[in-house]
Amino acid sequence: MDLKAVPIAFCLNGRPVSTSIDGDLRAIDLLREGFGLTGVKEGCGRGECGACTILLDGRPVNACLLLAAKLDGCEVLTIEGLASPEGTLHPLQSAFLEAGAVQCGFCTPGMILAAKSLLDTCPDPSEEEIARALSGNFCRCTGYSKIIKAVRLAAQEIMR
Amino acid sequence: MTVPFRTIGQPVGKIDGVELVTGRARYTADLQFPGTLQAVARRAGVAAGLLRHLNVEEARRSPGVALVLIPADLPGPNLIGILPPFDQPLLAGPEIRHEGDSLALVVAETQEQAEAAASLIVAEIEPFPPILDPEEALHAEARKIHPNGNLTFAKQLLKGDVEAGFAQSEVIVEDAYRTSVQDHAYLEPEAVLAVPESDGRLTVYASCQSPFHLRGHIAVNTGLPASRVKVVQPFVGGSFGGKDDAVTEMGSLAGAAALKLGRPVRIVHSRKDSFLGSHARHAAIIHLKTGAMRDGTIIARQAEILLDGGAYASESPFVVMKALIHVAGPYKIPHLRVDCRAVYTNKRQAGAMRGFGVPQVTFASESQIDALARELGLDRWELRRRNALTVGEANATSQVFHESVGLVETLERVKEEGDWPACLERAHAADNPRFKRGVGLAAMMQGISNGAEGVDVVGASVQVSQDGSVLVGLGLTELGQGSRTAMAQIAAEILGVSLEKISVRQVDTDTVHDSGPTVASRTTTVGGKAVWMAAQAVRTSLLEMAGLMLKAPAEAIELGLDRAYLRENQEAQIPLAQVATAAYWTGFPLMNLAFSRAPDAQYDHETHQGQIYIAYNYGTHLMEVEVDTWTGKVRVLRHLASHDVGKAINPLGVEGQVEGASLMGLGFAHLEEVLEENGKIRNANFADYQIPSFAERLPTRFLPVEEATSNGPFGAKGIGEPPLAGAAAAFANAVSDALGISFRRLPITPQRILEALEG
Amino acid sequence: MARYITPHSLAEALQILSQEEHCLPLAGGTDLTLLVRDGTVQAECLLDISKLPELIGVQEEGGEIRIGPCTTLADVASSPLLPAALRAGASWIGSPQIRALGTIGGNICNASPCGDTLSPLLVLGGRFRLRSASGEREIPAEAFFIGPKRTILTRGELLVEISVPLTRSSSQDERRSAFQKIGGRGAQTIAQVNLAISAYWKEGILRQPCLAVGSAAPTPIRIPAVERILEGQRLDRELIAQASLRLAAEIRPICDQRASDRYRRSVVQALFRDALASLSGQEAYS
Repeated sequence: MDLKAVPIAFCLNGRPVSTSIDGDLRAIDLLREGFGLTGVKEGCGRGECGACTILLDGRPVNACLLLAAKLDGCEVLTIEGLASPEGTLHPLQSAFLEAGAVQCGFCTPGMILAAKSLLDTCPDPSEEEIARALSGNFCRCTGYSKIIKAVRLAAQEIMR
Repeated sequence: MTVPFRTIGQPVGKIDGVELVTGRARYTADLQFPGTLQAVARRAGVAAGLLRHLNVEEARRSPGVALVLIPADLPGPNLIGILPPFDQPLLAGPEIRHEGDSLALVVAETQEQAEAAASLIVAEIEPFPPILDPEEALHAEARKIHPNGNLTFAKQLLKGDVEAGFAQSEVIVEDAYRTSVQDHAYLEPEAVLAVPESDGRLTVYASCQSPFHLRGHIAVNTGLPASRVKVVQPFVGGSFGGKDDAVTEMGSLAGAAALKLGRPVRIVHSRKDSFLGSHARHAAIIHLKTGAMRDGTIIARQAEILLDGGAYASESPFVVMKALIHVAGPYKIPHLRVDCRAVYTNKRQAGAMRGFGVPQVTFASESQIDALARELGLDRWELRRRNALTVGEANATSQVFHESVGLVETLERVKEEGDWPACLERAHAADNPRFKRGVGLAAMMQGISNGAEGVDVVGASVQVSQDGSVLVGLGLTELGQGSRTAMAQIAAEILGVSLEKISVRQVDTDTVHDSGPTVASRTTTVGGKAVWMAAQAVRTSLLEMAGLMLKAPAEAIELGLDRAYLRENQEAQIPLAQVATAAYWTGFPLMNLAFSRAPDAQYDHETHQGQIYIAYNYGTHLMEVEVDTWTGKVRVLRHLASHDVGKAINPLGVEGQVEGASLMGLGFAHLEEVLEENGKIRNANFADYQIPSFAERLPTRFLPVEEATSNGPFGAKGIGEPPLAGAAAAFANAVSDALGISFRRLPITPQRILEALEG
Repeated sequence: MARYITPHSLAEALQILSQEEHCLPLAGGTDLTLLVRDGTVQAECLLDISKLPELIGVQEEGGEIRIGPCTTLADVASSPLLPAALRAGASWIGSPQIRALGTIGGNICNASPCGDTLSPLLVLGGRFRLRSASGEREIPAEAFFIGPKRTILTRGELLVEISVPLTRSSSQDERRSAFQKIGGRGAQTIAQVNLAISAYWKEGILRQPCLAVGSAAPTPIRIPAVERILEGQRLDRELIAQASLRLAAEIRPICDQRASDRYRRSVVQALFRDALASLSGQEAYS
């Protein structure tokens, strides 16, 4: 047995999974390469851009700064787990499309997940609250305004 | 068309949006092939020198290493570039020209193994004092970075008699302006994946901007004929002009390694690699002199522009031409002399970046217009209006447009919405000892499409299936800007098909025509025109078939809502699927490949006088700022951006381009600067390189003007680049207005603001 | 490759640390993950202490507030028990993502001169309890930092508790605190300078003021010379001008890619004035 293998079990996009990993493996590598969840994007590898944002027990974290061993016992949501199993888009996903909040799309998965975490705790956020909650996510294409618009649109849809 | 537009002009979401919001969209680094190897480059790490010896033995023995590729392993010329003679080696040596030069490529089973092995490569480099100052590079005794010297390219523009113009001028203003290096900083770093195929061909998946350019270089450098190389462009996470040179280098190296090993080879840049090993925006030094009459009529302008091109030529020749042509701004100036040069230095090379020389010269020009207004005691808006180009007037290259010159309309819209000049008084009245307010204006224009850069042809295919669905192919690429959606809208409009039934395929060099690079805001204009033409040809088949079926002449038929119907009697209709099926069985062509060719540039190469661009985008920006004089921090309170876009195919997409380019312009003018010390980049990460965050977002309000051009589909002109220059120049003028200090260097960082205030 | 150990108790963690030569304690990992990955730090074994209940939480006890070092920065930022400066400092670190994982203990032990909880802890009378398998000591926050990224922690020793004296607010004599920071961006940014201040505030007069600055010297530092200027004085324009000039003269900032020393000396005065305004609840002192 490999002494360095760390057994972990966690809930990934609603499904229990277990595996063994190296202690210094990053969560982003496990999710992308081990589970094929390539919606987790690597933009900087240093926790500066937010493209790799996933939800860990509902909170947004940078998968590039997270050791995979820390997933043990947690609930993990990636962008692939956000739409319903039948493929119905989450209101945030629809709103991002409708508001034109997506251009190249590379920041979009992380942005949407950070926004979901916000709406889960703060269903009717102000523009400032949105900007603050998403401030760990960079976007180089849109200029951000349409992303704020999309989150408000989604909030209204969810509250309806 | 007699029917109103159904799709054109409607704000629509991206047709590939669902893939993007669900994480299903595959970017290059997301692709998986069995047995894929990872590769990293060993970089020089010194800005200039002579490589005496490269020892790769230890790296070759390192665990997991499959190959250490050195120049001797390359079957081709080991050179890439934009214009021949190419000057950028894939693997450098013996001359080292910048710290990011790749010396060897290490290919291993895992990324970690490749990185570990790369660190074991010993490069014995005899360092030279790096040449970092572009003016120093031009000294006669300066060391030659390339055999032919350090002048990369020089061009001149001459119009009228500039000496006479200045002699006639009643007021002359003169200054020097500087801009800094801006990084593209797309969120997706460059990536390639080269896959050797069983039939001996090579497929290269690449996060690239110009797949055919890439294909050509890969072919030459791997020794394959171009027809045996296929470049596929998956989703691209932003490019902004950036994913040409670096990706060409990566694709050629990965291709050579993959062919040698018979296994797929992937190179994915880290963010640091992206800063070190790709190109950036040219830093510029611009000496500018403008002469005018007391009434504000500008008579003459003289400019000397020096662009720091870094280690390799890249797009420098074309950026030189664009800067040359645009430094006069959107004004009618009878006498001009412009000299524009690019030089080599021992820094990362500069190349294409959104705006392509225009942001630099627009900043200089618009700053000087404000200086002139101050000198003349004239209102800044009035001065711009008085000199603004209109239909029928000669621009800097003496080109006269008889349509689609919407500059004055953009000026008027900004004046009205911005409440100029009352807004100035209000801003200045709101000043307090700490927070100073100011308002800046900037007018600009930007040539659309390749113009003098070369032939301007785009191929597009439109194919209608028997079920009435449509497949569009285009040789230009989707980089996030929404071009696939705009192309779908154009096809949908002409064929009367709903947008959901249209697919626009990703670019694969096997299936689309070489259409040149996706640059110069040309995709919607020239590419859209090709789609328009191909769709029109297929439409003819459908109309004829429907005519036969409805027993009416083809001219009486209209297509819409996935149906063919009689224009005079809409009850008489047939589903388009039936028409398409019948057309197929009747033998009518349901596919067309069309080439749109923009009118060729015709100009004097010595003076740059003549027909250069097929159209210009014109714009006016207004920005109101509040400067914290204690910290130098600037808050943008208001931003109006008006552009003449010809016709907005997708207003949502146009607005997105305006907002995004404007914020990148704010970065250029206020925050972003690649810092270097002894030729080594000091801020190759997002902690220290300041791209704007949510906190810096602009309150942009877009004010569209639509003066159609006959050279674009439905009148459309490109909008991807122009707002960047407008926003940057307006910002600079706003801060200068707030503080009563003329800033002549970008970026105007908080630190530079405090330095200026402290004197 | 590294082993990864999740101890079940603090005692077990300390035991392992005392036995293992190259074992690194790991909290949120937002700094350490990078250092381990790029080889800056050699770790054969990572000891994940972040889930030990003994090390998590904020509570009032024995006249002080005790903070578990593995309390996340997000929880520190939102804890109503904690003084304003510390909450603000924590809320300014990195991004929401970083604050959800990163811990106050990690911010302290990483000992970056720009750590945004450090200057607050210095002005709040923070004390650190350090424990190893063989013993325990408690030291004032100021004594902990000895250089950039360097602390007095010895091998096998763990930061197990952070405490700040309780300063229950009463309308009579209230100890207040404030934090200010400036970075290259308005969010997701590293401090070019940060500043924390605490003082008893009564009718315009400051008593026992404490002032500390980060990113202005090799470690976060107290500025006693300015504290002496402020002590017992009525806050007025002249006093503030005098104190802020002195502050600029007292700091020893470096010039690097984030900011020049000159800029740091200028903006520290703005931060100081803004912090005083926030502390006193009055308009900015211009």
